[in-house]
Amino acid sequence: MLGVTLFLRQTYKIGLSIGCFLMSQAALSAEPILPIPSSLPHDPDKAALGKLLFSDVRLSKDNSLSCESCHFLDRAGVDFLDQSRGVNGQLNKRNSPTVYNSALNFRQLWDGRIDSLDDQVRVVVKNPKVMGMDSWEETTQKLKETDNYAEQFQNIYGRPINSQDIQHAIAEYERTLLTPNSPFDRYLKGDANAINQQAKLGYQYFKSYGCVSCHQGANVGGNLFQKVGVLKDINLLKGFGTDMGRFAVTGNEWDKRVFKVPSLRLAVLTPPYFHNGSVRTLREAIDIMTEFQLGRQVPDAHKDAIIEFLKTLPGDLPKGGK
Amino acid sequence: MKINVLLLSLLLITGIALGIFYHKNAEDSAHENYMVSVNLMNQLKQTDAGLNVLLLKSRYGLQADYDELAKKSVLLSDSFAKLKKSNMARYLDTDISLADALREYEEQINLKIDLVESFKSHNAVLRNSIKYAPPLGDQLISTLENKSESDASLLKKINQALYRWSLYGDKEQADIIQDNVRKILDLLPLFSNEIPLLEYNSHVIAVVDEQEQTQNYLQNALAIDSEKTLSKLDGLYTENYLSSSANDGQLRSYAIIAYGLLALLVAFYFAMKLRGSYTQLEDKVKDRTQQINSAYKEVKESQEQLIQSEKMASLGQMVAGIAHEINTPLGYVNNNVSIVNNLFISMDTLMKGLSRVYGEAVKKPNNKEALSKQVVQVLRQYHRMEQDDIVNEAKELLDDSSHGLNDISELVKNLRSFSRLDRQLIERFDICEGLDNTLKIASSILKQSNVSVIKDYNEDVFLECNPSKLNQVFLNIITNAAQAIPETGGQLTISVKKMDDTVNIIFIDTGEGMDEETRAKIFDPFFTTKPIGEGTGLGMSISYKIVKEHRGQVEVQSEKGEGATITLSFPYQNVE
Repeated sequence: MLGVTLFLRQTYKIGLSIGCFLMSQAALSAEPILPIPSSLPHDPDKAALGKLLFSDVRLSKDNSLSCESCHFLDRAGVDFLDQSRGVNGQLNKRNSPTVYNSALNFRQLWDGRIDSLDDQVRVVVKNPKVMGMDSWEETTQKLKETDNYAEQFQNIYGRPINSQDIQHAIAEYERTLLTPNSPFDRYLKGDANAINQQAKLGYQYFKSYGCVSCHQGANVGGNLFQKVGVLKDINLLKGFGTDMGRFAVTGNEWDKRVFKVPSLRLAVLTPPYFHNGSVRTLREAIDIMTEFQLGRQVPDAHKDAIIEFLKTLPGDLPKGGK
Repeated sequence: MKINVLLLSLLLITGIALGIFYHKNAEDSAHENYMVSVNLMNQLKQTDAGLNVLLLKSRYGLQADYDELAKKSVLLSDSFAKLKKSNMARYLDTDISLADALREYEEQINLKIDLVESFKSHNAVLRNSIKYAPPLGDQLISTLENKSESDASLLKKINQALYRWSLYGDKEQADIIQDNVRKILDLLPLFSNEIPLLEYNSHVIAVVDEQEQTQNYLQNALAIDSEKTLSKLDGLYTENYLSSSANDGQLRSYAIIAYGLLALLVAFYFAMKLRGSYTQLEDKVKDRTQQINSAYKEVKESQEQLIQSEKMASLGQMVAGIAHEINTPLGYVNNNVSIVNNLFISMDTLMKGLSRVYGEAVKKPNNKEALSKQVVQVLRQYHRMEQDDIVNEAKELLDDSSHGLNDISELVKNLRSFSRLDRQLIERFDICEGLDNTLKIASSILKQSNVSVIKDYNEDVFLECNPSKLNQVFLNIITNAAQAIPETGGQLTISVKKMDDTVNIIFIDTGEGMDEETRAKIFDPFFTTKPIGEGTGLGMSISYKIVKEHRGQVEVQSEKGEGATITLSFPYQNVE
């Protein structure tokens, strides 16, 4: 009997020793979440020009929409719709993510098929279901004829207005749309009182339940792809089985229902949730995540603490954004 | 006078024409363009090496966020896009092999970036499940133990295999899990609350699937020999550049000769006036010397970057090995300590029994019946302990633990003295100690190929040198020897000999040896015979450079199939 109990203890202790080893390693390396930088390299003149373009409806075919129509700058950069509507009221397939901190995402769009912000502008303006322009020649011509864009582009970019520079200016503006200095970032930088006890507890749960395996880095996500339903078949959840996500881009079998892990930085401010915008509250979103991604039961009290932690993630909205 | 004016203006016009021609083909701008591509290739090489290190760090839990990894992937594709548009593009139409190499490299890094993405996703899931499943299994076992010993043993078997697998990752344990995982759900009726068992089931399945996937993606990503392709690309590109600039140079020199002849002709008439052009030529020479100097400096800089990236790559290979080396003894030391702790609880019970007997004897010395009953109880307890051989077991466990701790501290000590963190200073260095340290560092790779090492050195031999650099040379040679020896085993003999003028360090291995072609290229940068993903092709070339810096010599003797002998010799005046 002694032998058996000893053996059990032994296996358990080995497990603990791995745990300790991993934890000591984790303690050695930095926290999995990093503060948002106060700014990214950008040219202020080009960004100012981009700001004008961001809210200019001439970027859409029928002059009805601007970038801001789906990314309200004074409302955390989203439109709060399940799915956004493009020109002629066409319903899009997926939810519009916030434009804030989008420069920190490693790729753009839910399926990550776009590499850069510049390219995102290029594609969205020409997308018949979004801005609906026929071509970039048409867009450039339209802008050239109005206001003093031609003159401004000549002054700032040192060459005649062209599609590449228009895309760059908007992307340059988006690079200024960061939300630094959040309570949690101040906590990370050593201000122990920046967040309350409940939020600290929530952060510990966020790490120990494994949320942080995907939602990490400065943007608390936005830097990898993950499959929806890794531990439980997502088809059991209504409305989640149909969108094949990244599979449509790569054609790899495993990429079915794989999406870019979204940033949780402004999650508390930007309902509804998920690629299809089908979930109204953060609490329901956490229920789905723990069930299908973590495969674990999490007590309600712990989920509440995690929400308290998520509330400490949003930082200052840029002055220009108000 | 008229002919003088004619000759003068002829000379002038030719000079101007030549000047314009020279300016148009200005070599310095061509060279600058050339360097842009070369620097981009260096950057790609460094980024690639850094990516490998980060991959390993993420796999072994040393890097908690993916931001750096994501940035490296983006940098890789951005740098490549720039390279494609750089000066290299002008040779792509004429040189098919250059275009092929470029395409091959593009495919390789695109594949690598894809593999890295898949790795990141699977690694995230794996890390969660491997952390959660085993302790949950322990809980389930303890609930089951009172009800059904045989069913508990199934879970024990699986859980034990899980622990071992996450520690050592051997295939055998994976098979045990694989064979038994389907039986987990049969236990459902035994539990009043089914949820923990269902969770356990899905996490065990996740561990099995994800461990294999994660490992595959990691290995495939690391196996892509993009560095070799890049080196090939670099070589082809440089060839193209040199041949095109040689053409330019040849044309230019013909033109200058013709101009010189013309000038010579005119010189008969205007010897005095030519002084002016002479100083002009001198200036040109000065300019060119300066250009050559700055180009030399640039090449030197990029060479240093390459050495750094080689270091990064070998560091990455070492991280995994060392983590494992430390983790194994750490596991059993931890475990032993807890068992000893347990043993002391029995000792404590015994001591408490004794003190009770003593108390009884003092209080009621006449109550012999009660006293003897107590004594018998204590004796029985002692007898049980003796049967279990507790004292000896504790001693063995403690011996075992101190052995494990020694292993760890030995490794740490060696690691510390091995690196001596790049001190550029020249120090008095004990060659034998250096060899011992290096052998310890290389022990995992030596073990892999079953290499038995024969140390034929014992005297203290000191050398004034840079210890960390010399250690790097030893490590390169020993690693190469270990990799040359087949898995069935072999020998590596290392001897240190004092000669008349030099100290010789000789490495003899019984590996597969080298043919003449390999021997001739062994010190060439980027030359490697290793399978893809293992060698940077820089190890021996850097070693050669380091030996030369120490005024030493390297000699390689080898025939295909007959092992290799590498002799390093350092001049005696360096030796005390």
